[in-house]
Amino acid sequence: MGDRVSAIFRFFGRHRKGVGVSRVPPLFSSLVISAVIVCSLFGDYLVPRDPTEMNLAVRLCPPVWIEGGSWDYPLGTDLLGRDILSRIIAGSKISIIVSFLAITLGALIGVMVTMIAAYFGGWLGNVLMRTADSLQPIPIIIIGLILSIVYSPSLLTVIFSMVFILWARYARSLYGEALALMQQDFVSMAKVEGCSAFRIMTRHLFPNLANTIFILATLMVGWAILVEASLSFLGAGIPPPAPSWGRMVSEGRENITQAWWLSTIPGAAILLTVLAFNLFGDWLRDRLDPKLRQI
Amino acid sequence: MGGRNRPESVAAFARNGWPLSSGIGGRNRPEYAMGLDKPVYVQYAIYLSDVFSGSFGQSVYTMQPVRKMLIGATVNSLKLAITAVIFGLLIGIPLGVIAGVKRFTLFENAARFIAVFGMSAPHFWVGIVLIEVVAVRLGLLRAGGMHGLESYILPGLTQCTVLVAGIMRLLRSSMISALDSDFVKFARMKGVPERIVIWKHALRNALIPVLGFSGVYIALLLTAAVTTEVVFAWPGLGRLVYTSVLARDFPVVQGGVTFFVFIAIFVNLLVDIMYSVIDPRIRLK
Amino acid sequence: MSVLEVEDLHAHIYTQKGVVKAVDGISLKVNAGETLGLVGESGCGKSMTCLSIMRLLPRPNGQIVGGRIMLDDHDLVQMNEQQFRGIRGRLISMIPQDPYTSMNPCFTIGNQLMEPLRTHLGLRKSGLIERAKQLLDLVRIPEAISRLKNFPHELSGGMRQRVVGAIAVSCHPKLILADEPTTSLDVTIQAQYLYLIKQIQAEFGMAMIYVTHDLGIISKVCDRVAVMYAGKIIETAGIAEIFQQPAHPYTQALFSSIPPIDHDVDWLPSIEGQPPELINLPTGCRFFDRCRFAMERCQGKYPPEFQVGKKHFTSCWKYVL
Repeated sequence: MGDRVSAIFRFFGRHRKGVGVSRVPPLFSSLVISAVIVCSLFGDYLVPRDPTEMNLAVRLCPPVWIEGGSWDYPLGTDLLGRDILSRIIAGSKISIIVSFLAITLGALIGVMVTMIAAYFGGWLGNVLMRTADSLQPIPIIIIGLILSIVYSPSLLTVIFSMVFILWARYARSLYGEALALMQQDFVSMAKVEGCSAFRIMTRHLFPNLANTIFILATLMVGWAILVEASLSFLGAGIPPPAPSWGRMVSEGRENITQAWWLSTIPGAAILLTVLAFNLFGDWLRDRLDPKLRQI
Repeated sequence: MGGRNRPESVAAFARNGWPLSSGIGGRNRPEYAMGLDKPVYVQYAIYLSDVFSGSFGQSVYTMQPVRKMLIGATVNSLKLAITAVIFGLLIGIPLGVIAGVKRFTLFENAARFIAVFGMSAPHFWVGIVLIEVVAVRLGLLRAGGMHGLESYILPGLTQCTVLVAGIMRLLRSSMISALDSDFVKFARMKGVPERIVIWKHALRNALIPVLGFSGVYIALLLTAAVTTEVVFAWPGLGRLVYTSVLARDFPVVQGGVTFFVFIAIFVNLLVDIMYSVIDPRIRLK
Repeated sequence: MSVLEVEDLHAHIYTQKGVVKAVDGISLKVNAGETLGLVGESGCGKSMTCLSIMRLLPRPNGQIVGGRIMLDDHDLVQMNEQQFRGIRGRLISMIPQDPYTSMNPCFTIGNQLMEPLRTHLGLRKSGLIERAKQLLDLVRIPEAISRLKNFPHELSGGMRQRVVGAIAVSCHPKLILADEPTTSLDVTIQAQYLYLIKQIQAEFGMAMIYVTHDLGIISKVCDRVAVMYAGKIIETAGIAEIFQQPAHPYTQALFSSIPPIDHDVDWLPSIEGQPPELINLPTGCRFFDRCRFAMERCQGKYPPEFQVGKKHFTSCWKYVL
């Protein structure tokens, strides 16, 4: 037994000569991300059963690997007899679409603000960036909650609460780089040639920021999915009948003792998806821009 | 001490159509008593004047002064935040040391994976799983609420997951810098055993930015624990706002959000200060 | 009686760009009580040689890949880490270059001074403090007892370097590797420090390898000199011979670049060109493209070591018939 332990230690402790980052994206992440995206796009065709179909005769059926489960409902059924596997597949749509939308919108606004702040500078730039700074620590969940009662919860409220903070994060991360770009010669040249501010920003600034923007986006996807799930869990997310993983966890809470799979499986889906995106984002960042490597 | 409920003090964002759109009762409805029929800007001005005078009104639900509730809740959130930071340090420091010392080995990859894993797990799910496994199945700890020291453990563990990732990464890079430094080289020259080199010489220096970061994180956690507090029925600020939102307890919601905003500003200041102090140390070679 | 014998040492550093042959076949010998100077320009491998002897090459990329380092009949290269730890700091110690960064700012100098005493000599409590005080007295630091409680930043540079020296000799090593210990000191302090070192060395009969690029110091401190270039030792000689009759063209150029003390000159001769990159070494003599005596055969094969005087050796095709 002692030999096996020390063998494990030796295996884990052996130095690997390779210092560089692998050129191939990590296998696990790519598989999971592809699976989730495929599910979100084509979920309607992939579901083995209708996710909203209720069949009280088979309610609270356990997953297939537990006694009492069957392959008819591989991940079990919920309180209303709905197939959990199908609901998971259908739920991916919400997670992916909401987060991607929020990220894109946040990026758009954030990039615009950054470019304007960097280009015009002066008090305008100051005000913009100060605003971005001050938005940083505001808790998104609270915003989402408030919005959900002022206006009843919907796709719009969820996305708005995310974009509200997201643009500020983009702006903060990109500002330094944008400023540095503004100092470059090709920008001065463009100004001399009489290019309009808009043209300079779109033609010169934006393409150089694109790399960083993309990397930031991959890093934020995981976070966005978590926010959407948390809001759904608290009841401030996309309302039913659209299945959302967060809400599934919340719904399963009451029966957790008899039917642990109701909450655990959707939660695991969230975990795996976010994990995959985070790992992928890390790899991408190491590969493309070591400067952004997390401290 | 903020007891009497000013009828006009309602959240500035109570727009037209929100409370007035619900149900019956005519002009006797409580919303009219609270002055929701006045124009928004008037409501907002009244709200501001109330905040600055320190009065938050009275809870519609519990009839208690809101300020007392909020302060009590904030203190509870603070307790949770401190617990989470302690757990974060307990778990994150060894992981960070391993990742920094055993570079380019599978140990490092494993530590980094654990960190990313912690960052990717939704708090509410971790909480639910922990409750189910530890409290219910194993019967080891209480399932929720805030009673006695043992009830701090599960919520603290749940909340510390993201922090573990942050600490591990920060400590890893600090350790790498420290292990590269001249004084570590000199300690090795003296023939000091490697174990002491790592844990005494390198770690002592590497911990400085980590402790600063953790201090700030306590403040940050005050506002980031909503789902954890809800899952564990922890009487903190996040849960208070959540239950008040559900119960449409406007004064509490309004007061809670104000508290949140102030905490957010405070945290911002702290982060600024921290970075100006710590920054030279984190710079990687 | 030789304390240290290095035979054909090779040390490589693996980088993303290729293998850096930092130490490429070095052989040297130091006797008890003797000081061997290791001279050369930056990057020639002299510090790496010292680190190799101490087995402190940067990990994980640095490795000793060949050769032997014999300390009293024990091959240091073959020892495992456990055995070697009894040697590092105890039988062989090192004085690093920069006193400002070598000491840990978080601990008192007493703490750092007592560390090797505790580790190697197993002293405890009162014996520890007594010995630490003795060491500080040895390096002429006044008020030793109160100094033990000071932190490194509270001492001047000269004092710090003396403390570092005290730490190095604390366990009576047989060999000291001094890596340019006076570079960061004022000139006036330098002289004091060198005098101190020589005294201690004589008192304990230690062997010393003194690494420097300062030829003035060489003349004061060393008995013999080894000149390094691009990872190899290209000349070894006694102190007198190396100044009066440098054999290798590189050594000649090096010593002729010292400004003469008795008259002014308009310009100082310098050696044109750069040393070769240690990743991409030529097959022949490495000084070929900067040498004024370069011949055709210099480019083809690396010159073997040839004796040009009493205990005077050099690797140059000029002397091989």
